[in-house]
Order: sequence, then structure tokens, then C-alpha cells
Amino acid sequence: MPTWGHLGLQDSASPLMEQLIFFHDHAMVVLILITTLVGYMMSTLFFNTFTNRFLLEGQTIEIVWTVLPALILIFIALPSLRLLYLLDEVNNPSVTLKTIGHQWYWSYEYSDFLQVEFDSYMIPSNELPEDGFRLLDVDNRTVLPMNTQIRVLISAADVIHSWTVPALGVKADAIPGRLNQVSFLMNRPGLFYGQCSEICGANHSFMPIVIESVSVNSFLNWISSSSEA
Amino acid sequence: MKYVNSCGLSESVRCDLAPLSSCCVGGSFGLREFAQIRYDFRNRKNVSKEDAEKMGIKMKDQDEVTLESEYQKIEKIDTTNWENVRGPRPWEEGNQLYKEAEERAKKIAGRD
Repeated sequence: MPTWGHLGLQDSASPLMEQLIFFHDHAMVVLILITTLVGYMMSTLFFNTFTNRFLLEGQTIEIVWTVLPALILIFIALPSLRLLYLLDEVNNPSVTLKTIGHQWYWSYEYSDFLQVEFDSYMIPSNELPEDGFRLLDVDNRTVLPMNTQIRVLISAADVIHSWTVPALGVKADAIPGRLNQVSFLMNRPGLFYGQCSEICGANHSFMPIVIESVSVNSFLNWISSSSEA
Repeated sequence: MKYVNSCGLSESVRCDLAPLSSCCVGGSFGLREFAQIRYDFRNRKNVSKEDAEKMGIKMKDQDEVTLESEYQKIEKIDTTNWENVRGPRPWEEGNQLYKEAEERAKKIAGRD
């Protein structure tokens, strides 16, 4: 959940998001090291009085400052590629959720069950309860089971939208006439928020996503009550 | 004069660069083995058809719900004829979409 003055990534609710955060921290360390080294070199150069009017070439230093950046890039690329392939691994989802983007709400359908579908609109600010989150809370949350592999199929009915939940590390465009797939597993219960991430009209900022992660039994109870309703 | 040992490597490469690079690169691969344990022995549950039927819920077979079958359903959605509404900003009043939003909010308040 983002809060005021939040600078970093949101706490992860999925193992893949955990790995993304680790990679982000690793790349950040490398960048800070490079910035510190270059900043130190520049500041010492500023204040030294060494002068050599006859400097022409330095083969060794040229080799060093060519090979060193290449090595640094390898140190960044190897974990990056490992994570890239990890994100695309095949798994067997046990729950499939289909979400269609409209102007300006999301509609959800639980494809594995019969007649479980609903629309999810943002709650307007002036109708929000005292403890509600402005521009984030919705009337019908998407309830999903935790510790279960979930597949979300994303499409749109009019213009391009984008379905994302930062805490789960998922984002995919909702394109009319196309079906995109994302896969995740939530390892803790709670509420996870996201917002439409592709400009789709006047109310693009007012069509949020809320995932409610519950136990498998609670999920099945909710499905049962939703299909009866 | 640089010291070169029997391997042909200078001391700085043998004592500094080689251990550093092997730790950084090899460490990433080595840590992968530990990370893999978490994925192999995950506390993962399945929502199976049997669990659902115990609670009286009808659930489709896994083979029935595929990308192809869902794609056939979304192909039927008419994406070419939609009305481009100059949507109301949430702070604007007196328009139809805003009234519908108010009614939805009242339903939630009544539900709670």
C-alpha cells in the first residue's frame, strides 16, 4: 500500500515481486558505487595541481576503462536475465480470472466457475467512508485465494487500458481484440491496490483495481455466495 | 617489477580480481540453488474441483478453461461501436454518469 512520501517499491505480496525488489536493490548498489567513484574522481581532479603539457596517450588506462564498464554490465545483466526467464516460467494455475477494461471500470469473470461475474467501479470521493482510501477503493473487490497459482486474462472492450497491481509485480495492457495473460501467487492475505496504467479517457485516473487475498475456504465461500446472488 | 606467479597471472589479478569476480558471478548462481528450494517446497494450495463440490459449487474442468476458449469468448465483444462519452470528472455534478456513481455508492452504503 503506498503512503504519503513513499519513495521505494511497495512491499511485495508475491515471490516474483520479492525477486524484482532484490534485483532493484542489487542494481541500485551498482549505480551508487559507480556514482560515488566517478564523483570522487571528478572532485579530486578539480582540486589537484598536476599538469602534463605533453600527455598524448595511456594504453593501460584505456583498456581499464573499457573492460571495467563491460564487467559491471555483466554483473547487472546476469541477475536480470535470470529474473526475466523466471517471470516467464510455465506453471499450472488453479484459478483463472478474466478481466475486461471498459471506460471507466473493470469487469471480472471467474472463468472456472459458473455465473460469477461483476463490475468494479471506483467509489466516488464524496461517498467514501471515513476509513476509505480516496481514488483507490472500489464497490466490488476481486477476491482471490492465497498460496494458489492464479492466472489473469486481460482484455478490453473499447480503448486500451492496463491492469496492474504493483504489490504483486504484475502489469499487462488490456487491448481490445487481444488476450494478455499474467500469472502470480499471493503469499499473504490482505488488500492489494492498483490503478489503470494506460490513458483511456477523462476518467483514466478513476478506475482502480483491488485484489482481496483470502484463504482458500473463504474464497470458496465467497464464490458460493456470489453465484447464489 | 610486477610479480607473476606460475599461472602467468599477476598478484593483483590472482588476489583481487579473480576472487571478486568469481564471488559475484558464481554467488548469483550459487544463491539460485537456495532460492530454488523456496520454489520447490512452496506452501502451495490448489483450488480443486473436489474441494469446490464439497461446498456445493460447480467448477469447470481445468482442460475446459484454456486461452483459446476464453479468446473465442472475447472475440464476440463488439469493440468497434462504442460511445465516446465526454465523461464527467468526479467533482462535476448534474450528469448521468455521476448520478449512476451516486446510486452505486448508496447501494454499497445500504449493503454495509
